[in-house]
Amino acid sequence: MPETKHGDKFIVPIGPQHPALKEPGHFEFTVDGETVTGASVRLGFVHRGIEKAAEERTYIQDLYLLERICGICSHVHAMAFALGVEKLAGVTVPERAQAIRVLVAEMERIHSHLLWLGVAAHEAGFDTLFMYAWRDREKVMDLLEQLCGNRVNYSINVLGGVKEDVNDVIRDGILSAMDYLETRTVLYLKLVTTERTLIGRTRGIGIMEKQTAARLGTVGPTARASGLERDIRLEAPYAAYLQYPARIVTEQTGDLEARFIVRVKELYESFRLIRGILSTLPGGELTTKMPRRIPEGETISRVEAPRGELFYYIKSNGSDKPDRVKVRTPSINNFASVMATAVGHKLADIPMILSGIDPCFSCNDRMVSIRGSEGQQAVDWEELRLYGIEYYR
Amino acid sequence: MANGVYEMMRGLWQTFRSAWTKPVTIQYPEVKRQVSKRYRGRHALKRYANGLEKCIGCSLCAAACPADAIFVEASEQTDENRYSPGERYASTYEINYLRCIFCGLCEDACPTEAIVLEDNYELSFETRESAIYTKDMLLDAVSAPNQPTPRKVKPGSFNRSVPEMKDPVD
Amino acid sequence: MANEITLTIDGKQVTVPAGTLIVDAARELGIDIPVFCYHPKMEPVGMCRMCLVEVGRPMVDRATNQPVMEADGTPKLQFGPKMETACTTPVSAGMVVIGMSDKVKAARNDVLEFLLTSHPLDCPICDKGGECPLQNLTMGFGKGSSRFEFEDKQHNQKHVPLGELIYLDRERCIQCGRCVRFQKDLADDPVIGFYQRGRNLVIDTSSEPGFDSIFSGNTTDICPVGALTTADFRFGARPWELKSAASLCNHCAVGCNLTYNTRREAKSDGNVVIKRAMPRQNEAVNEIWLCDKGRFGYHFAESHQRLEKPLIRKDGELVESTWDEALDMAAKELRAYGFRFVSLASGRLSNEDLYEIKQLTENLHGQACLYSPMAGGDLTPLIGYADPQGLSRVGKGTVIVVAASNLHQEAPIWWMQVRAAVKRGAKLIVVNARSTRLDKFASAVVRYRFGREAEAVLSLVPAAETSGESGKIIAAAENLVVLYGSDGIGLEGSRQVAAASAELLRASNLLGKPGSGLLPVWQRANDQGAWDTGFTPVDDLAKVVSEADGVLIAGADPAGDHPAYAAALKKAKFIIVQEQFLTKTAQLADIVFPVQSMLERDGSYTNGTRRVQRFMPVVEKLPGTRPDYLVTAQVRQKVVHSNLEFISAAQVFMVLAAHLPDYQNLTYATLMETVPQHPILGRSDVYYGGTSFENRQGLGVQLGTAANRRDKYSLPAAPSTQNQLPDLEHAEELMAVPVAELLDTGTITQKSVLLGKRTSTPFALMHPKTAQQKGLAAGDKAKISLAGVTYQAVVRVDESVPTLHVLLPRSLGIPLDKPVLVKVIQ
Repeated sequence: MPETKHGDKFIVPIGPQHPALKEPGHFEFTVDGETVTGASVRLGFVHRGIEKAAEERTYIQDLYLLERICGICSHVHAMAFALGVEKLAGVTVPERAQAIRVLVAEMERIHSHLLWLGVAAHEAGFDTLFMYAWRDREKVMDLLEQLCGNRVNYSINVLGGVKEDVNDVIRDGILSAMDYLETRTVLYLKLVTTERTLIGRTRGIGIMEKQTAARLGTVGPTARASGLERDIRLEAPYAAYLQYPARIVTEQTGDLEARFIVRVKELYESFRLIRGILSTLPGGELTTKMPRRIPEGETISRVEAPRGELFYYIKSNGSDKPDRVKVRTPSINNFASVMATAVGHKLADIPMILSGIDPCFSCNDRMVSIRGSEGQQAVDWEELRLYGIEYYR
Repeated sequence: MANGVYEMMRGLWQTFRSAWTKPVTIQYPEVKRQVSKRYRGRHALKRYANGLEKCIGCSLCAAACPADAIFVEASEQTDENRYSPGERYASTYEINYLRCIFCGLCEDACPTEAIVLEDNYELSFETRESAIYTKDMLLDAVSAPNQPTPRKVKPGSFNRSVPEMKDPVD
Repeated sequence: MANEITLTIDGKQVTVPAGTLIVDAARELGIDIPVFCYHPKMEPVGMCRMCLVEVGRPMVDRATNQPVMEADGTPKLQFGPKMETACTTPVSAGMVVIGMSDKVKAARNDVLEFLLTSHPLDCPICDKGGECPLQNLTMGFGKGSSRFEFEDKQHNQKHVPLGELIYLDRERCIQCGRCVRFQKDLADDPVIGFYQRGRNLVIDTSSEPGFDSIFSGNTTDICPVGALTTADFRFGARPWELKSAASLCNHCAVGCNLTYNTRREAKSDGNVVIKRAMPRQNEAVNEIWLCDKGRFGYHFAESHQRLEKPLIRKDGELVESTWDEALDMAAKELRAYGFRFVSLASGRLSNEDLYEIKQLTENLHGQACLYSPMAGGDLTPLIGYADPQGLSRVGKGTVIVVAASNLHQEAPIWWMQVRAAVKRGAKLIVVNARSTRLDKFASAVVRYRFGREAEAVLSLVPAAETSGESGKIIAAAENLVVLYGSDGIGLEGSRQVAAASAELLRASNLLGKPGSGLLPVWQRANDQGAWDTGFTPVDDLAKVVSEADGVLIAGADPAGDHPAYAAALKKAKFIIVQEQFLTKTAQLADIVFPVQSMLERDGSYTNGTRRVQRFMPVVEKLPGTRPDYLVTAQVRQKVVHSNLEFISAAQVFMVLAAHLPDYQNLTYATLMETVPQHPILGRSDVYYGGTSFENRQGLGVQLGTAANRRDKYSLPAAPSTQNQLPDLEHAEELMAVPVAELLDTGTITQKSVLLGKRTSTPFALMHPKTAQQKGLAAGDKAKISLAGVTYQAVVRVDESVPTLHVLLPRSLGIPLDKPVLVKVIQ
C-alpha cells in the first residue's frame, strides 16, 4: 500500500494514475483510521496548452480548438467563445441561430446530466442505474448526431451563427424523445429519493452549508444543491435565454442526495425549454456575415455549462488571431468544495463526494500557477519550462 | 428476512423480464450502426454523372480546414488528359486523418460539392503514414459506362470549372 | 508654401504638393479610393470609373472674384452635378472630397456590375484569387448576386499563351489597359495591345515570338484581375498558402529587392520549393519592378545535380569524402604551398564570403583576384553615384551618360529608370560604338570605333574642342551620372573607360553633389562588394593561376568559360573549389567543397550604387552543404589556427564592418531598417499598386563616397586617347568584341527550364557590308574560329555596328573575355 507515515497520521495518495480516476489528478488524503482529516489536490496532469495554442490560431480555428477543451460539454465552450467574439465584432446573430444554440446547449445538458447520473451511480455501486442512464443518454446523443452530424464534438457553432438547421423530421424526433426521457426521468427521481442502497450512500453525506458554498465560490448544480441561486441563464441571459427563460432548481440540504435531485430535476427544466424552443422556433437566417479580423478590444463571455458557470475572457488586437483567450471552467471552482467537505468523512465516501461535483479534469488544466516561498507568483513560458525540467528531474 | 427475499425476487423478476426485451446494443462489427444523414464520417471525393471528377484543385477546403488536415496541389490539364472540368485539377489530394476533426468546414467551402463527409466511421490506423489518405483512396470509383479519369474528351466541351450551384438540402 | 495645397477628404485635412491626384492625396490620409486602371507609376487614364468621388470646390463670386461664404463664415462649396474620377483630378485649394457616401457606393456598385457582366467568376481556380483587386472590391462594394445569366455572358478564350512566359485569360480581363500602358510607356516594348472593339475588345500580342519583352512578368503583377498569369506560377499554389522570404536578385548589379514565395510541395518530394518571385518595393533600387531574368531565373535552386558531399582527389580521381577529411587535406596542402597562393572569387558571392576569402588570402600572403572583366571598382568609393534615392527620382537638370553599355541587356531595371528619367526631363547622352535601345531617348549620341571608348568619353568634356553639342549639354548639367558597362570591351578597355568617365566627372565640377557620380554596370550582383573587400581583377589571369602553388576558386567557373583558363588551371599545383555544381573548374580541382546557394543562407550584397542589402534564407538548406564563408573560415582555422568565432553570417558581417571603413556602423539590423516609401504601395490593397510586396525586411544602406564627404582623394590620370585595338583595314580577320546578353546560359540561369525557352542562341552581329564581304547574310550560320576552335553562331546584321567587327555574346558558349581577332567563314 502506498501509505506514507507522517507524524501520527497516514497520508493516502491517490493518482495521478489510478484505476478509480477516469482522468488524471493527484489527491492526498490525511486519514485518522478510516476518517479523513485533511485533503489536498494537485491538478495539471492533462495540461494541453490550449490557451497558448489559441493565440497562435485564427478565430475560426480557435472555435474548433476550444470546442475540444471538454469532451462532454463541447458545445458550451464553442458557444461561449462564439458569443464573445461576436460581441467583440459587434455583429448581431440571427434569432434562429441563437435559439438553435440554446436547443443544443439544453440537449447537451441532458446528455451531460445523464452521463453524470450513471457515473455517480456507478461510484455508489448501483450499476443498474448506470446502465439505464447511459442507455437513455444514447437517445440524446443520437438526436445530436441527427441535428449536428456528430455525437460528441457537434461543430454546430460558427462565428456569426450556427451551421445546421432544425427540420421537421428532427423536430419531431426530438419531441418524441423528450416525451420518452421525461417518463424515464420520473423513474430516476423516484430512484434517487427512495432507493435504499443509493440513499445510504448519499443522504447526509458531503453536506455543504449555503454559506460554505458561497464562500468557496461553487457554481452550477453543486451550488444550487446547497440552496445558492446561481445560474447564468437567469443572472445574465445569453443567446436566446431571454426569450426562453430557464427556471432555477435548488435544494436546501446541500448533501449528495440534493445534488442528485437538483441534476435530475434540471432534466425536466431542459425538456421544458427544448419543447418551448421547438414550438416557437423563430424563422430567418442561420448565420450573419462575420469579419475575419476582429476589432481591437476585450470582452468576457459567461454561459451556464452543465457543471456551472463557464467563463471566457477574449482579448483582440485587431488581427485575425486573438491576443489572449482565458478560460475558467466550472470544475475548478467546485474543486475546493471537495477538499472542504471531505474532512470528517470515511475514506470510502470520497469517490462519491468527488463525483458529486461532476468534475472534469482536463477542463481545468490550462493555467499553471506556482506557489513559491513568496506566495503566488506568475510565471512566464521560459520559467515554466525550466520549472518543468527541474520538477521532473 | 421475508422483506429481503421479496426485494430479491423483485430484482430477479426485472432481470427475467429484461431478458425478453429487444436489446439496445448491436453486434458490432457484424452489424453496423446506421448513422444519420448529417453524420460526418470519412471524406469522399465525388464525381459528376459523366464520370469527371468534381474536384478542381482550388484548395479552398485546405484553406477552410481549422486543423490543417488537407493538402491540395493543383496542376493544369488539357482536353487530351481531362480529370475535371476547367483548366485546373487536383494532382495531389491528401487528408491526414490524425489531424481531421470532422467539423465539415471543407464541405461548406467546396465550390463544386466535390468533397463530402460520408458515413464511414471505421478509421483506425497502425502507423502515422497510413492515416494519410491520398486522392485515389478518397475518390469515388467511376461508374460503369464512364471511362476513368484522365480521359480524352471533345475539345472545348468542359470549359467551366464551377458548375451552377443550388442550396443544399440537408 | 505656394506649391502645397490643403484639401479635405472625408472630413480629414491633408496638405499635399500641387498636382497631386485626389487618389494619392487620399492615400496619404489612409483613405482608400478603389481603382482598377490607375497605377501610381503610370499616367492616369480614367478608364474604369471605379474611383468616382464627389468633389466640391469653394464657390467663387464671378462679379467680385471673392469666395462666397456661408452664413457661419465657412466657404460655400459647389458640388458638380456628376461625380469625378479621383485618379485624374488634381487637388485644388479648399477642395472637399467625399469618398464614401451612398451616391459613391452606388456608383461603385454599378461599375462593378458592369465589369462583371462577362467575368467568368471562376475565382476558385484563378491564380489571382486571394490577392485579386476585383475580388476584394467586389466583396467590398459589389452586389451579392449577378443579374446576368451565364449564357448571356461574352465567352472569350480562357487559355491564350501570349508568349512562353505569360498566359492570358480573356474572359477575366476587365480591359483596364494597365499591361498595355506598362509595355508602351515604361518598358518601351509595345508588343501587346487592344484588338477589336466594344464587347469583342481583347488583348493580343503583335510580336513574334509572342510578348517579346524582358519586362513581361511585371504585367502580371499590375493586372488587377487574373487575366495575365505567368507560366511559372500557373495553378502552382493559392496565394494564401505561400510563405514569403525576403531576398535579392543575384543576376545583375541592380540588386533588385524581391520576395520569394515558397511552399512545401508533393511534386518535389515534400521539399519546400520556391513557387514564384515577386518584387519587393524599394524605391531606391527597383521600385516595384523586376525583369524576367530575375523573376523566372530562380530555378537553379531546384537542380538535382547539386553537390552534397566534399570531393577530394585520390589517385587522380575525385571521390566523395567527409568534411573533416577534406578540410584537413586542404589545410595540409595550403600549409605546404602557402607561399604562392591565389584566390579567385566572383561577385556571385556575398560580402561575408568574400571577406573570409580575403582574410585567408592575406594570412597566406596570396593574391585576391576578382573574376570580372570590368575595372573601376576602386573609383566608386571615391566618386560613385550615391544618391540615397537611386535612379528612380532622377529628372530635370540631370545629365545621364551611358558609355560602352547595352544597358537594356546589362541592367534592365536601370535601363527602365534611365528611360523614365528622360521622360521626367533628364538629358541622356549615349556613347557607344553601335546603336542601342537607349539611342532614341538620347539628346546626343556619340559613336566611336571599338577600341576608342576612352577617347569618345573624353570628347564629352565640356572644355574639349571636340565636345560639340553633347559638351554643351554637360556644361549646363546640374547633376551628372556616368554609367559605363562592358559592351565590346575587355578588362583593359574597361579600365580606360572608367578612368575616362572619372575624368569627365572631375572636369564637370559636379563631384560632391549626391546626384552626381560614377555608376559601373557590373556583370554580377556583388562585384562592387568584391572590390570593397579587396578583390581586384588581373590582366593575365591564366598566367597568375598557372604560376600559383595553391588556388582557391569560389563562385566562378573559369575553366568552363574559357579553354585558356582550363589549361592554366591544369598547371596549378593545388586547387580548392567551392561550388554548388560539379562545374568544369570543379572537375579540375583537388578538393571540391559543396556550398549553399544564396537561397539557402543569409548574407549581404553591395549593388552597383553601393547600397548594401541583405538577403535571407528562402528554402531549406541542402544537407551536407555549408555556406561559403563558413567553409573558408574552417579552412582558415586549420591553416593559421585562427579562432572559429564566426559561425553566422551576421557575425562575419560585424567583423567586416569593423575592418572596412566604408561599412562602419553597419549591422544586419541597420540593413533591415525601413522608412515609409512613396507612393504607398504594398500588400493589403493590391488594387492600388499590384501584387508587389511591401518592404518590411529592409531597404539596405547606401554607402557614402569620398567626394560627397568632401574627403581628400585622388583620381587616376586621364587615359590616353589612343586606339586600344589594332587597325583592321587590310586584315583577313575580324575583330570580335564581347557583348552582354540578358538571357544567357550562366551557371545560374541555365537551370531554368522556363527561361531556357527564351534563351538567346549564339549570334554574330556585324555590319551588313562585313557580312557580305564574308559571304554571309542575316540568319546564316557562321563559323567563327577562335584560338583554333570553331564555334557556330547565327548571323545578325546591324548598320550601326562598325565594319570589320563582329559582336559575340558572352556566356553563350563562345569564350570571349576581351576583343580578339577571329576568322569568320561561311
